[in-house]
Amino acid sequence: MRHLKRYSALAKGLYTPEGRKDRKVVVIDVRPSPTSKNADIFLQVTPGADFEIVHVLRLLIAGKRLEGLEEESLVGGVAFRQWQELAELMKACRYGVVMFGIGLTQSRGKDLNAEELNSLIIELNAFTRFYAVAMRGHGNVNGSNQVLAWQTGYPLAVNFQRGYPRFNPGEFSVVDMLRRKEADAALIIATDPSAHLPQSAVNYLKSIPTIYLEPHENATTTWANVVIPVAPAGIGAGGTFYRMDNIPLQLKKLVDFAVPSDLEALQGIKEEVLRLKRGEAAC
Amino acid sequence: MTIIHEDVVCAFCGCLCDDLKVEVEDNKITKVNNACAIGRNKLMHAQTDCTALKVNGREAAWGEALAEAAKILVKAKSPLVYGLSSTTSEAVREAVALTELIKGTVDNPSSY
Repeated sequence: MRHLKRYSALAKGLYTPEGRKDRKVVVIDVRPSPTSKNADIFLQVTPGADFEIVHVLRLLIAGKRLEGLEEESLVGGVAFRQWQELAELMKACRYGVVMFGIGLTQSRGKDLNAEELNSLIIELNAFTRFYAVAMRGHGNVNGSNQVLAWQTGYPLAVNFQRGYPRFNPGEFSVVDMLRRKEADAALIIATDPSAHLPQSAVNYLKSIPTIYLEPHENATTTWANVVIPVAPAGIGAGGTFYRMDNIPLQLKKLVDFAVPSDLEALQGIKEEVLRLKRGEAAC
Repeated sequence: MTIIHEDVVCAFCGCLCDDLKVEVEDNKITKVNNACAIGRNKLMHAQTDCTALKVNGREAAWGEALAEAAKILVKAKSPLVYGLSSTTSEAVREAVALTELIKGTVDNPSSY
């Protein structure tokens, strides 16, 4: 909630000592929001047109002629003229950042939208300094991508069935695996699947043995087969979290909890698994 | 005894605001400064409504829960390890190691 103040619209920097006054804020969204009300330019687009919009911006930045598009022709529900103005604004700025969220990455086109945006950013760097930052939700969702990429080469949806890591979102991603009933047991750590996953995925999850590491009572602790209480990270246990701009920060332990950390619980489970596997091998 | 923690990093969202001030009195969080409404709420309520150790709906001991968890994971042909969005990177590393050991799948909420 403090994003605008600390990092984006209002933040003061070396070349932006006046903060908001030194900066142009453009919001592209399907509906007005408190953020769009504070923007210099708000472009209200039609849902599902993200790829088309980014593609048109890429062509404009590259200086291509777009045949058949007049100044008032609509691209994603917004006049072509306004996209031309935005392209000029992006090329002319000294340092631009696109903050994008799940409206872009989880609507029609999904990862292709993000890839198209990355291409736009790369091409903009021929003119000026430009970055794209993914708006991350929970505290260390970036950190789990970082660690997975470090350990396996892939940031999410990694499968070890063949003994080496394979990556395939859509096949090894949580919602798809549960909807297709491909998992036969689950270990859930530091998230509430009952509150976040689609109902069909939750219904299947309830039908398989589920182990749950979680500090607080919630909709999943009522039905999980094994519930292991843990100290909440950053409150009852210290460790490293990655901020959404990929900066690692050390979190402190503030108070004592009578229960172990996620790390200690996972180490305990791993020890037991190793013991069982050694037993199997000995037989 | 009151302990004042300065420059506390808020663990709630990906902003990780690192300028919070948290007051702790006898191991209880009593005051949070500089956080947004959600961050403050999360810290102020962190010590209430804690869940209990349970195996199949009844309270159990630590060793029993670990043994049952390991039994489930070793028996499974296609175990799924999921979440890891609000825990430390150190714990994520351990979860990846465990997933490799049980030949499972590991994923976090950024896939949907």
